[in-house]
Amino acid sequence: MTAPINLQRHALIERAVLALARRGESSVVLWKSIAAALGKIIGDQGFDSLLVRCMHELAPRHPWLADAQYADTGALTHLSTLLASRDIQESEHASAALLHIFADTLILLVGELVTNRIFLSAWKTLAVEDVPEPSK
Amino acid sequence: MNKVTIRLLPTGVPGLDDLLGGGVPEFSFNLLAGTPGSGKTTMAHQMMFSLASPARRAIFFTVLGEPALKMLRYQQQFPFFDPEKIDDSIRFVNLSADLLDGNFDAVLARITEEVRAFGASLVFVDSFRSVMQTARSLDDGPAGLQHFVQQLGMQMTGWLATTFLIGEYLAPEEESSPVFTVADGIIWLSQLVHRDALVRKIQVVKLRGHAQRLGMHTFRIDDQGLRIFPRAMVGQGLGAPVRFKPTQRLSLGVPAIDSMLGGGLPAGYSMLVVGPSGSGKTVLATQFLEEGARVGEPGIIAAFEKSPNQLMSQRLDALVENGSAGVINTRTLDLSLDEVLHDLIEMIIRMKAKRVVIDSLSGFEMALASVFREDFRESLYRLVASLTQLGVTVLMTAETEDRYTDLRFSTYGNAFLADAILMQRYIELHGRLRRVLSVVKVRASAHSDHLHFYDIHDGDIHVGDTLEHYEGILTGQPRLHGRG
Repeated sequence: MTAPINLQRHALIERAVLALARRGESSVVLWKSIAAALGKIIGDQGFDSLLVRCMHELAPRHPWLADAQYADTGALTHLSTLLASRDIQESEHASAALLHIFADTLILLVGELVTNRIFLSAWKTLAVEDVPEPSK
Repeated sequence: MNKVTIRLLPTGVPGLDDLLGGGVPEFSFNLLAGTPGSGKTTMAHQMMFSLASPARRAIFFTVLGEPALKMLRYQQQFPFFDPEKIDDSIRFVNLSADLLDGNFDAVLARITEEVRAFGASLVFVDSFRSVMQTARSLDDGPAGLQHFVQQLGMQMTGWLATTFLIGEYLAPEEESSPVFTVADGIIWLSQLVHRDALVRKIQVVKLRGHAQRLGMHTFRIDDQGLRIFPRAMVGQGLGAPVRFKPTQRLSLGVPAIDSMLGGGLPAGYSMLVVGPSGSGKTVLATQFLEEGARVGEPGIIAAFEKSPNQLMSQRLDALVENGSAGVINTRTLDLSLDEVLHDLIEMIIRMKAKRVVIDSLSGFEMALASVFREDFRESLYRLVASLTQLGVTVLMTAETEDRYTDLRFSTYGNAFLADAILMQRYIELHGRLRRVLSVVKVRASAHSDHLHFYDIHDGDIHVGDTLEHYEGILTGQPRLHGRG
């Protein structure tokens, strides 16, 4: 039986972060892909606004994300710097949580179908689909 | 050697292909313009989602107009918005940052590169107005814009793309933009508010390559998207007029009235039944439709008089239920004639209807948006002419005030539109209110000139004796001949 679409998306995010970690890559590459795909549609500033809002949402759980001095560099570079400053486990954990919030926010605005299309389009070249689902 | 054939792409917007003479010409460079809120972006999306496929890809460039997030959010409410087409067949690209840099050459290069990379053959730029506003603030302003528009037109055609620039403009005559010169087609959307009713109109201002439908046409935006109702032009778009022999007549279902008409109502005629409230106009219309059902001539009633709940009598209900008659219900007071006519013609063709009842003209006038009421006589003329051209026989009812000092057949001065007129009215006789009727006119046909008593029993009209022994009948207080 096919899993509900929101579970598929959550699983996709978890698998993508895990796949990159196994390859020794930072999850920042996931963010860059989304920034490219979504920024193309809504503009870089539109993407920045969404990302900053999501970082604000997650800041109570990861206070280091509350540092919002991104004006000079753009939100994505700022996030990359913050993620790089944490240990790998915490960085992955926060990045995955942020992706969930980001996807949920986008769903509120443009719906699940369009959001999923954007995520799948952004990540289709990252070879994250063939990574087995992480054990519960 | 053959001349070039311009392929027409069906737009997917109901009614628009009629205005465009079949569809939008392939590889054309078009302007989709109009006032804010007139439905430009919705129309563009409707066309794009209809036309786009993996073999015919589309790019929708958003500029400084409606934020793309909101556009995606709102346009998804329409059923034509198919998210499955995004990425495979449709790509959205934001050009705001490129435009803010103020370098038209860079914007042009970006558009061309995106079209090339995606292999797009449909290109939309929304809103092009913001491109023009940016141009005005630049040093090389108008000249730079002219160059940009010409280059864009040339490059998009070079890439075999059919292009739509979407922009907010107030009125065609107020614009002197180079876009208007370069564009192969200009589609203009507007909306006007008249006595609180909003009416939307569309005009194909310009179309190179082939003939478009001229003039303004009404359209509606509902939960399906845009629907256009091409303006009914008598003699156009309805095929050759159906001709009848003078001997072809339709029974009204009341034999005595058929006799008064000279043997029934001539086929293809329009008849006006005028009378005061309660005189039995709808009763006669019902019998007209029932007789049609009996002889295999389906009918349609356009009921403007009543709300859907109290719409019809049991007998009309029965006709509708057994498929012998169709109903056009009106729910709003902002209709255009063409919207009504569009629905009527669609149903006439679907049901192969031969008889149409419009009940009543005053209700019909009320259902129209106020701006159309001013042209009601012209509207009615177009309606009747279009229906009779299709070969249907029309019965219209009209309520008149009972005045006993003059003789009226219609409060609208529309009696001349009817080929036949049947008058009903009340008179006072022996302390009773009696009904009388008479045939006033049957064009090119002999008919009775008698006034007859009539009654309504069990939902049927029963015609009685003539009133030839009376005089002064139309004053409402007849007297027997020879009595002062």
